[in-house]
Order: sequence, then structure tokens, then C-alpha cells
Amino acid sequence: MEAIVHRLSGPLTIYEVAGLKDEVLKILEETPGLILDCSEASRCDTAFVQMLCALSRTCVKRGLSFSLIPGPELSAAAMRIGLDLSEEIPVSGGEA
Amino acid sequence: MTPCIFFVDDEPRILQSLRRLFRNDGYVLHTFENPLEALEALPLLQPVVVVADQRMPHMTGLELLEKVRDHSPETVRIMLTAYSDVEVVVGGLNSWTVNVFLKKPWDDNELRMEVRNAVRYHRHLGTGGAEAMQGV
Repeated sequence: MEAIVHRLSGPLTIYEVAGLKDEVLKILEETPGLILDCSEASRCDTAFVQMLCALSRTCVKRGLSFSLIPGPELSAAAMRIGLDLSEEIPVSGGEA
Repeated sequence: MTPCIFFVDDEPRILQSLRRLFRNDGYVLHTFENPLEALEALPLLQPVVVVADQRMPHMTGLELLEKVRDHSPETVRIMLTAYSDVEVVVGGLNSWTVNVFLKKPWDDNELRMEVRNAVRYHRHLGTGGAEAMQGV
């Protein structure tokens, strides 16, 4: 079974994070790997980056593969705080 | 109830700027040069959001927000950091101490939007909404 690509769009901020977290955790119960495509996000904040870092650690613990297609908004959210996203989470494609 | 916001920074000039920026936004604003005073005021004023600088003499922003998280977990915690504080950012992200990071010098519109979003998120928690930071 291959990793599946799950696309997130719209705002990805602290307000949406709780719902997104449940959505992604549910997918991870059914797949050995996940590529999260955030390239269509309209806005991201560091609460979302935080969730991604935690998800990445969870996947390592569970032996699942997890990577990102960050897109401009997520990359900008990480860059605003001086964070190189690719150092924290594997990046599948697009701009990190 | 009018949302109460704490701003904590050891530089009075920064606190004045923040007061000016938010004075017409419909919040009750409290500014503190000393993070220990902010902590003392926490139980009485019950801020919806705490915005703290990282580099302060008595206590770092991360230490302050860790205590805020422990005493008032529903308070949304925003940290203003210099571009060079990457290790602090990573530590804060991994420990769930900080909800949102913003870089100094901040963009006014971005900071106002983050505070608005934080207030909205706090309301969401108040109505029984899920806590974003648990259970991953």
C-alpha cells in the first residue's frame, strides 16, 4: 500500500488546527504513509506549523512515512519565524 | 465580555507602540515591562491572549508562556521573536508552550490579524470546541 496524498486548502491557522488534526490522524490510521499537500492554503500560521511538526514526530514513532508539499503560504509562515521547514519535516515537492 | 490582552516586553517604547496599534480594536489592554508582574495579574485579569517578547531580563518569553500555559491553559500564547531565535522557536513549537510565533519587527496588520484569530480561537474553546494542541 502506497502513501496517499491528502490536500488541504483554505486557511490553516490555530482556529482550524483542531479539526485538521483529527482529520489527519484519522487518515493515518488507514495508511502506511501520508503526503500532505498544503500548496492550496490561503493562509498559514505557526500553530499549523506546530501541528505538522507534532504529526511528523508521531509518524516516526508509529513507523509511518509523512511528508509535505508545502506551497507558498506554509513556506512563508515558516520563513517568517526563521524556520527552515525542510529541516523539521520531509518535503515531497514544491518550495520548502 | 471585552477580551483582555496582555502585552509583555521590557522595552516601554515597544509597549507604547502595541497600545497605539490596538487601542481602537475593542480589547482591554494591559502592558507589563516585568513578566513577573504579568504572572501575578494572570489569575485576576484572566487574559484571553498573552503576547510576550522572548528576550527579557527577569524571565524569557518562553519561560513566561510556559507558566501561563500551566496556570491558564485556555489563554492563547503569542511570542514575538527575533529572526535569530530559531532554537527558541523550535523548542516552543515542540513543547506546545507557544501557540503562535511572530517575528520582530512585526507587521502591524499581521499582528492584529493574529490577535483577532487568537480571540476567535479562545471563544471557540469557551464554547466547548476542541483544543488544537492536544493529542497529536
